Amino acid sequence: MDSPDRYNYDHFGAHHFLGEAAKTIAGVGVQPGQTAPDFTLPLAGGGTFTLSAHRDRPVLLRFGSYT
Amino acid sequence: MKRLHAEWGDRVYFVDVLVRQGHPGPAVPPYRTDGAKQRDAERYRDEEAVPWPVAIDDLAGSVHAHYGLLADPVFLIGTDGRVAFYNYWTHVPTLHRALGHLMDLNGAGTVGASKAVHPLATVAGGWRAIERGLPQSFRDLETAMPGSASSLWLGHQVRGVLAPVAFTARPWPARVKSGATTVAGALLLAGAYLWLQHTRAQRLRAPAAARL
Repeated sequence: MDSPDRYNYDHFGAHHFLGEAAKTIAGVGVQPGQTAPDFTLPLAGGGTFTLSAHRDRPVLLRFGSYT
Repeated sequence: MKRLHAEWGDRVYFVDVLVRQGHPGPAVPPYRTDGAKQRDAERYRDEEAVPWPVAIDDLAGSVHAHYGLLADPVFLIGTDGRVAFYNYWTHVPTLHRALGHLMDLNGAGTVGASKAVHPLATVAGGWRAIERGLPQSFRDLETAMPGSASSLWLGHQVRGVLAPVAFTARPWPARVKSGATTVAGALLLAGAYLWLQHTRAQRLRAPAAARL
């Protein structure tokens, strides 16, 4: 895994875009049928969210950025 | 996504995970503290009026890394704790269809994956993220992908016209989809043209300024 400084880059560049395209083609990430990695994260406004605590319904998990 | 939530929110948990700045700029620098990320998560939730929980990944993006580090993916996770569907690039009508299939499986099972990129939704809705990081975010994106930031700006200007097709929750018929893709393509080309004109004007101005 990248260090926090490398992960949080200063400038968006062509290599980021090309990296996204390459990852899409290669099929990175957890694939359908695989166990979703569990996590507990803080929530905006307080409290936490634990994935494994939400098994009574499906979960739509979206990753995104403020910018 | 809010329309999707309006249709499915009583049967599916929705959660966002805030990751790194995609397009940093002077007012939205890369995260160096948890507090800065917390503040942006709250701003995002409030500015976009997000009605579902917004979770905040750690500074190193640990959860993001486990899930593949793509910029804008969605995972549908079944009640068995397994990934049912992987939308590499968020596309609401695709998710609507996938949720329908998942419910046909009683909430658990493999639905599949979609790697398709849907340019219309990006062109119509992508400007807000770039706007927050101006002017650096615009410059960086134009340098990385010439014309793309200009096309997002153009898309924002005609957002009202594009919205009925771009932000629908349900899939459109094939004919509408191909028309929408043509519009998005035209906007991308127009963005590239604007960028070329701008670059040319800058080149012409530079020698004139040097002579003064």
